[in-house]
Amino acid sequence: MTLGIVVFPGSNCDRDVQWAAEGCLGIPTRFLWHEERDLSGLQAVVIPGGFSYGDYLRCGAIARFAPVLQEVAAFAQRGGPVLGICNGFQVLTEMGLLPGALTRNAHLHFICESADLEVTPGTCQWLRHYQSGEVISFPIAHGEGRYQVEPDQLQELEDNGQVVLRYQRNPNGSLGGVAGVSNTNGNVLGLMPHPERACDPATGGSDGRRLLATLLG
Amino acid sequence: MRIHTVITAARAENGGWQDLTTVWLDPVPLFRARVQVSLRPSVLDPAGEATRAAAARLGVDGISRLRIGKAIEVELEAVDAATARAQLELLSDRLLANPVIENWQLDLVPDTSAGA
Repeated sequence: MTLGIVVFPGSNCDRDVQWAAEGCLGIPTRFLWHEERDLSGLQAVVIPGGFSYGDYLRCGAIARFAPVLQEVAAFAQRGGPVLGICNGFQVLTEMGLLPGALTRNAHLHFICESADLEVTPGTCQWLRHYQSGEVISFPIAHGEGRYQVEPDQLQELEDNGQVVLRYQRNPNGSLGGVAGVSNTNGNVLGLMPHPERACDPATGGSDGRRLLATLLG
Repeated sequence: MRIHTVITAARAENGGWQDLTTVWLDPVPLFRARVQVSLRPSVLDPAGEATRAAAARLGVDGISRLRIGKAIEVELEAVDAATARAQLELLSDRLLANPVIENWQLDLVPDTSAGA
């Protein structure tokens, strides 16, 4: 089991993910520079938080064209587990692997705090160690995390069980209080909160451990 | 400006081969475009709202609507206007704007100095 961690110019949570996976849970990791195309030997891929390519134009808009992401898209199409955290979630929506878009927080503030989230895992394999209806706490740290989608499409996501993480107290104006969505196959998860910052009680709780622990079987 | 050379041969009247060498200058027109990207009307624009509030503090009253978008200026070489437009539409729809949250409008102006 080796976890690939994509690194763009401007990524800043890549080492946090490595620390959480390897340091806290003993999961081997390999960094994937944005120009790489070799995903051989990887069982899962994380697109971490940060400001990929400076987030010029829109968050995740430039990253979408990175060579490594063409391989990640193919990996996801084959059913490979892909996790996008914060900027990684924005990238996954720009790639079209997940529906919707992330826009400027309703009150314009950059929010850095803990957020309580209700989990409804459905078929999302990344969340299979959580109970449906369970409330967990992950740190959030973003300025553009307001989930936006057309109302009829939001209803479709709700009906499909793709809204897998929802804020208990909506911090940013996200439609439907959406904090994280899954694809219909359940192998791709995008979320604004940071599970990798919740893998050690010393740095924000340990509710995130079970998410990464899905990689251990 | 691109220079094209086409060398052909044709059967001459005396039965031999006659070289026909054609060289011409083919100016590729330059097109200037402005792509206006704006948030879809259904999408909240908190930055626009904050700016509207500041306008009131400046003493500019009566602003009922203020939305912030972006304008992207592009210069593009293309063989003709239809090709330029197709390229710019692809660019606008797939990169400059995210259709989930944004609309775009393309204004295309052929460069008047093209070919000069």
